[in-house]
Amino acid sequence: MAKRKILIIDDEEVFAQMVKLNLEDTGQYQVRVETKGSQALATAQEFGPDLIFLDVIMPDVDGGEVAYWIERDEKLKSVPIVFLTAVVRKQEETIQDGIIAGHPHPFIAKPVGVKELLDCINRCIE
Amino acid sequence: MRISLRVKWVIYIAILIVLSASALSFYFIGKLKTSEKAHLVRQGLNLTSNLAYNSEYGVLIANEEMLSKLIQGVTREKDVVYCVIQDLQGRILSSDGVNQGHFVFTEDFNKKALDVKTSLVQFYYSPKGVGIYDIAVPIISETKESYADELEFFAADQQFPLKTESSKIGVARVGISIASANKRIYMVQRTALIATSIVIVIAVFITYFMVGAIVTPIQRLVKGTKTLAMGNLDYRTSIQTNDEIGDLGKAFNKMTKDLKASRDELVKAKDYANNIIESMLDSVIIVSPEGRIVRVNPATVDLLGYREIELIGKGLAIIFLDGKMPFEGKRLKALIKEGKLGNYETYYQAKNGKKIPVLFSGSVMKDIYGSVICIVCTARDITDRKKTEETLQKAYTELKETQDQLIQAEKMEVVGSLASGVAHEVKNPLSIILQCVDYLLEKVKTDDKNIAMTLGHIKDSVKRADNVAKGLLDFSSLSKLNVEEYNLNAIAERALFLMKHQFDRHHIAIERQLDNDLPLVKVDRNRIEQAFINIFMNAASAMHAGGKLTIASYVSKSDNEDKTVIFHIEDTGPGIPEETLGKIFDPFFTTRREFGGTGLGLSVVMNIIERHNAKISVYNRQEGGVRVSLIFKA
Repeated sequence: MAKRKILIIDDEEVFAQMVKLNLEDTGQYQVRVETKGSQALATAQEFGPDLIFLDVIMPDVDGGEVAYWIERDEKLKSVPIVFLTAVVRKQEETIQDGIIAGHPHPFIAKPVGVKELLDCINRCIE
Repeated sequence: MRISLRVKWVIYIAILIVLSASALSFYFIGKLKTSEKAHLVRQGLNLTSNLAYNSEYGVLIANEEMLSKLIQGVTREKDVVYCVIQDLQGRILSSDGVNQGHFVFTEDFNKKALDVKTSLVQFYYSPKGVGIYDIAVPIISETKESYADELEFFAADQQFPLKTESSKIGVARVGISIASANKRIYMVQRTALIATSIVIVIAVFITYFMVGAIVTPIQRLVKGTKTLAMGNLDYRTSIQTNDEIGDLGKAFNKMTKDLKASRDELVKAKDYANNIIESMLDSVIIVSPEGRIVRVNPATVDLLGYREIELIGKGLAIIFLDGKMPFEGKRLKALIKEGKLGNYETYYQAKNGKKIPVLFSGSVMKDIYGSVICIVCTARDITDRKKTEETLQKAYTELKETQDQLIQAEKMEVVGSLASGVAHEVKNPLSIILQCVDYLLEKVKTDDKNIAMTLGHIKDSVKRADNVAKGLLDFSSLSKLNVEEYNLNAIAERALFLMKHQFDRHHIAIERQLDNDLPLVKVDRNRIEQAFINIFMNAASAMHAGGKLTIASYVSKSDNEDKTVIFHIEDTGPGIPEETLGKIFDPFFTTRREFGGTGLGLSVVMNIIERHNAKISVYNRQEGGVRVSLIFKA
C-alpha cells in the first residue's frame, strides 16, 4: 500500500519538522513541509498530497487565503484540509466548531499530540 | 298661664272704667241723696209751716172741721204720709194718715216735737220700714199783730203798745216719706249702672280693636323675628301705618336688610377664604393642637382617596406612610416653637395603601395670646417629580454603566490582544514541545521508568500551560458579541450534550426542569454556551465521585414589568467554603490548580454574563451543594 502524502503548511518550521518526523516515523505517511504561505499552492500542486494540514496565521499569506486557492485548484479541490492554529484571533472570530467561515474544514487547536493528528488523518482520509 | 296682651288690656280698661264709674256714681248719687233729702225737708218745712200758719185760727177756735180740711189738703201733697195737729199737751186736734202705720212715736220723740221752737226735723223708720221725716213746726198765735187791723180801735183806746205778743198754741207735724225719693235715686243708680255697663262694653270693644291695632303689628314683628331667627333674612314686615308702629316696622325692615347685607358680606368673606382652600391644588389639612384632623380640602380627598368624614376627627398619623409623622417628639416641639416646618419630603399613604411622596409643610396658627389654635398642614404631591428624578437617576446609572462597560470593553480590547498574542506565542512552542515529547516517547525505549515519567510530566505541564493560554484566548475573544435571539433552553441543551462524556465519566445524573415557554433572549450563542460549559465543568469537578446536576429554567416578571428568564444550576457537591466564596470570580483564582484548573473559568463566565447585561449569583444551598443562578432580561 502506497504511503499517504501529507502536506504541512506552517511558518513554524520546527513544529512542522517535528510533525513530519513523528508522522513519517509511523511508516505510513510521506510528509512534506512548506513554511511559506505564498509557496503553498505551488508546493501542493507539485506534491499532490492526500491531506493538507494548514496553519491559519502566517506572515506572508494566511491559511484562509491558501485554502481559498486550493479549493479552486482543479487537481487539489478534493484534497481534505485540516486547519491547525495556535490562536483564535479577534479577526478570526468566525472560527467556530472547527470550521472557518466559508471553509468547511475541520479544525485542530495547537498544541496537538501525535495521537490526535493520527486520529484526524484517519477520520479525514478513510 | 299666658294671657295675651289684648286680653290684659281689655281687663285693665274694664277695671279702670268700673272703678271710675263706681267712684263717680258714688259721688254723684251721694250728692243726689243729699239734695233729695234737702228737697224733701224743705218741702216738708214749707208744708208744715203753711199748715201751722193756716191752722192758727182753727186751733184758737178749736174748729176741728176747719183743721181737718187743712190737713186733708196737706196730705194730698206728694210724699206726705201723715199730718197731725196737736195742742201743747200732745192731744191730737186733727190728723190724717196716722192709721197707715207710719205714725208711731216714742215719748221722747213726741216731747221733742212738742218742745219745738221754730221747727224740728226728726228722722225715723216706720214699722213698715219706710224712712220718714217727721217735721214739727209750732203753731204760733200772734194775736195783736195778726189782728191789728181788726182791733185797731182797741189799740187806740187803750193806748196798747203795738208790741207783738206771740204764743205757742200747738204743733203741726207732717210725715214726709222718702220712699219716692229713694225710688228716684234707685232709678238714677240703675241708669248709671246701665250707662256704665254700656260704656264698659263699648270701651272693651274699642280697647279690643285699639289694642289690636298695636298688637297686630307687634305680632307681625314677632313672626318676623321668628322667621329671621330661622335664618330667612329676606322676610319683610308689612306694617305700613304712619305712626310709631309704622316706624318700628320700617326700623325692623331696615335692620333685617342691614343684617342680611352684613351677613351676606360675612358669608362672602368666608366663602372667599373657603374657596381659596377648596380650590388649592395642594392638599390642605387643618389639625387641632391635639393632633386631630379638623378639616381637609378636596385636593386632600382626591390625593388620599378617603372620604372627608373618614378623616375628620382622626389622628393625623392616619395619612402618613406607616403612621410616621414628620413632626413627632423633638420636631413637633420645634414646629410649635418655630411656628413652621417647611418643604419636608415625606410620604403620605392613600386609603388603598399607595405610597405618595409629598413635599410637606406645617404651620402653627396661634391666637393673640400665643396659644395654638390649629396646625395648617399643606402637602404637594411630588410623585411626578420623584418619577422624573428616578428616571434621571436611572438614566445616569445606565450612562454610568455604559461608560463602565465601554471602559471595560476598552480594557478587554487591550487585555484581549495582549492575551491572544501571548497565547499564540506560547502555544506554538508548546506545540513543538508536545511533538518532541511524543517523538521521544515513541523512540526512547528504556527500562528507566524515570525517563517515561519525566516525559509524562513534560506532557502534563504542556497541557497546563495550554489551558492557561486557552483561558487567555477566551478573554481575548470577548470584546465583540454576535447577538441574536435564541431560546436559552436550546443553548443549555447543547452545552449539556457537549459535556455528556464528562458527566458520564463522573457518574453524574442530569435532571432537567426546563420551562418550554421561554421567551427568546438576545445573546451571543457561543459565549452563553461557553458560560454554561464552564459552569457545568465546575459542577462536574465538584462531583467527581458522582452526584446529580439539576438545571431549571423559568420566566419571572419583575417589578417594572420586564420579563426575565432565570436559570438555576444546582449540584450535590460539597459546596464552596465561605472564605473563598468572595473570590470565585477573580481571574486565576482556583482551588484545583493541581488538577489543571486555570482560575479563569468563572471569571470568563462572569465576563460573558455581564456583557449580556445579565446577572450571575453563586451560593451554597442549605441542603448542600452549590446553586448558580443566571438572570437574563427577556
